[in-house]
Amino acid sequence: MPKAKSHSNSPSSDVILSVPTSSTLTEQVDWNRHLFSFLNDARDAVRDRPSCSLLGPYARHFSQWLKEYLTLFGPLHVHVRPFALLVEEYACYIDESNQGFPYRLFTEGVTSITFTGPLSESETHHLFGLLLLPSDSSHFARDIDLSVRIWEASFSHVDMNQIDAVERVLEDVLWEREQLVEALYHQVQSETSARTNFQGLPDTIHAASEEDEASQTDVELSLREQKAVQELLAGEESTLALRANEIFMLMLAQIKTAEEVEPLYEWIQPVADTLWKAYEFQALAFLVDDLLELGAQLQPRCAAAYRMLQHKLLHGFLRSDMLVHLHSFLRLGEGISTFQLNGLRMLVSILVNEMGAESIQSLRKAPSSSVLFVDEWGDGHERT
Amino acid sequence: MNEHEQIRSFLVEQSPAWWSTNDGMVGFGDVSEHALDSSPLSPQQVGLHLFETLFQLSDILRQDSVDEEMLDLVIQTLELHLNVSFETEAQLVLFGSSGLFFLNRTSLQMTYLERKFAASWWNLIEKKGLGGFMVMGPTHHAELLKFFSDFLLPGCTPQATAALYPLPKDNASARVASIHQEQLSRSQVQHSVPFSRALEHYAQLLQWVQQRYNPLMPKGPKRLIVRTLKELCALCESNPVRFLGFRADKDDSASYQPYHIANTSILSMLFGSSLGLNRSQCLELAVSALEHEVGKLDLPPELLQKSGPLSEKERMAIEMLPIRTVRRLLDYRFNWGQLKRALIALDVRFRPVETKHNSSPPTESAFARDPSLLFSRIISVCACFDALCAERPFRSAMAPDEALAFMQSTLASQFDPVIMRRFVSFLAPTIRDVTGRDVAYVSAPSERRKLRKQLAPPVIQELQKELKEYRRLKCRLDLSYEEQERIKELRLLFLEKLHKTRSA
Repeated sequence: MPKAKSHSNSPSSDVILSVPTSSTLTEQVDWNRHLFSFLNDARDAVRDRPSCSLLGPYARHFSQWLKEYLTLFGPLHVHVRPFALLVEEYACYIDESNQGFPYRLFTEGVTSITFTGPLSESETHHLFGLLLLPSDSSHFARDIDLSVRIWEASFSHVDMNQIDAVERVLEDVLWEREQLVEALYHQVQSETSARTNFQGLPDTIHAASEEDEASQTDVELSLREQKAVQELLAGEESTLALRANEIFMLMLAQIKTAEEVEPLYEWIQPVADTLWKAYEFQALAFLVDDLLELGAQLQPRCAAAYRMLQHKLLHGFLRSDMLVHLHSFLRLGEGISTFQLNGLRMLVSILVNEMGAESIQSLRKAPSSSVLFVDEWGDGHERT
Repeated sequence: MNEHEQIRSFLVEQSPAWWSTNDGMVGFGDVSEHALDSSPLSPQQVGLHLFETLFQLSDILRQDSVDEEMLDLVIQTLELHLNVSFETEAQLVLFGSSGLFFLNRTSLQMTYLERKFAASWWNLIEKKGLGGFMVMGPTHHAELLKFFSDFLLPGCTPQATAALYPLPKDNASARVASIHQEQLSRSQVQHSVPFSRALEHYAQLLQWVQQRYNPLMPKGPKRLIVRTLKELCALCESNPVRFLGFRADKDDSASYQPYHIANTSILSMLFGSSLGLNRSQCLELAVSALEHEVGKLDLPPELLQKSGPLSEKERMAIEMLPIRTVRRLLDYRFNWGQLKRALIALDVRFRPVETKHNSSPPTESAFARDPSLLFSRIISVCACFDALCAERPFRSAMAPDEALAFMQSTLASQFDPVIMRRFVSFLAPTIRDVTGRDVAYVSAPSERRKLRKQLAPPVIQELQKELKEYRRLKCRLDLSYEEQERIKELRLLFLEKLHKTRSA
């Protein structure tokens, strides 16, 4: 083990781990400060540019230091306060924003987080992403609490203590709930089938007995079956973007007047943005071209409104943030699949067709390697 | 002017002063006319007033020369609030942990700034090792004065407070007691027994579904529904839980629907878990199940509980339920999760499965042959089972084993055979426990209990296949003449379908 201690948290520099030499308390405070400085620095790194990839080095260092910390001091108990994380009364992480994760966790009822064992690098990276990146930064963001997201991640050695009642409970609502609970108790004590409800859950604070656990084995799936389920779900996820079009096809059928076309933008635009950011260009091309044309054909009276809607949607793709995202996609180079290329080609054709020179100029802002790529399609399409 | 009126007028006069931060005092809540009434206050109001009083008390006690008159007045006000509350509450427990404050089981709602102040102030209490205090019954101001003087005095140590006011073991000694931090764990203060907690969470879920279940509702409550489901999921994942669903007392649609939705959600979650779904997937499945029939909100209740045969118009209205659900789910608030749930809802129906699935023994690969989403298939089975077990105006309730047998025989073609097989093995032990009979030996129920659920419009069922073909052809550059013609043909087909859907 190297002797010197480095307090540099630069992700590019090697962090040297060391054993504390002075009194334990002082050293533990130092360790706390140093450990959480990686979280602090990671927050600063992604403040202006929320990107999961920027978190990697900080997460790696945190993971290494946490492992050492746990060896020296045992489980790390972190108390959650509205604007800080405390370890042994010491504020090791401060964030006075009500958008910061301490405040979010705090209002969700999380009182403390305990690291009972080391976290792998990927787990730490995931945890940092959950804590520091805006919850809607993912293309497929879900509207759920941060504490639920942490729970879902099933981190191997992270325990959260969470208080139940954080919702606003009005007196009459609470009274009604108590009546409901009473009625439910009555049902589970009756001779109806409801008596089995929640049986298996211990009626004391002790954990389930081994006997209870044994009774579950007869319904457990084989590994092969579990794998089949997970493969199926993964397959479904990959086709979800394309299936979004089915929804809009059904919606088109509901449109009766030209006035109803305009509000469609509110539905389609977020989907289009999501598809763009997820590089689902084929589904996007279908959405902004084929579907709207179908709508116009379905109701010739609304054709002008559909054209307007299409123009508005296409114009949205030339926003700077959308172009930045496209350019990062083009940088992937060999990582781009034929499927995605075909989709992008369709989309560029539509853009050039509808928006003309404006779209080409915007797309040319791409890095040099992709200019040719865009030019080829744009020119090709113009020639066509 | 009587004593109460004196207190009221004094506090109303003094109220602005309490809010002023110039002299270091901070007040919480309004000192309203209602608050000083002798009518019982809600825990929320009492809690906030207690906080306000504690602030005032600590401020008075902090002074070098304590203003006895003021102290007495504040204590008397506190006594009034507490004793009035005992008309409805058996005991009052004010506790806080990490800046969250509760009176009994009610979380005290504060603004961002109030909470910030409260948290920093409560920190002083926590440093003494204290977590709150409890009042076991009607009390008098002398007792309160003595307790709070000790409780709030800066020099008071945890040991001294504990010695003076121990937590009573038999509820017969002191009426006011301090609570130590270690007693604030969920197991002590909140309902911690997993079985009771599950019932509470179910009630919570049911209540939300009953009163506020609506895809357009504000973000907060929706997140809390997810959280309740998460709590249930967390409770159940470490225990082999049996669940067949609760039933409404009445069989009208308004009573039936929330129970049906809550049962389907929990049953789907538990069944999903038995299929090897992870936490995130189980939770998503449960939320999707909660919303799979939200389009029913647009249907007249009399249609949902009609006992006679449906007219053509009514049948069409029911058939359009998936589309109504989709519209509800995507109205105004879009996110990818909602879109996914909309797709799941679109697939949730009792739908014929190709004959070849039934002719051969089901295998794992059959999963991949079914075109609808797995979550939809799980929810379809769970929703159907729960619906059959409930008393409805148009048919009597089936016993769980009858329902399962009916699903296996009469409705066998409506479900994914693999999912159905798994569902039977998942429920069999529970049903055996309830009925004492083995599921496999139960014969199908009589014909009068024919299921009346309608199939989804064929136009929706065929859409997926044609869209797939259309998209495949569209992304190709070198199309043959036949393929170009096929694209045109498909477009016309889509138009025709759209026309059909519109007329429906």
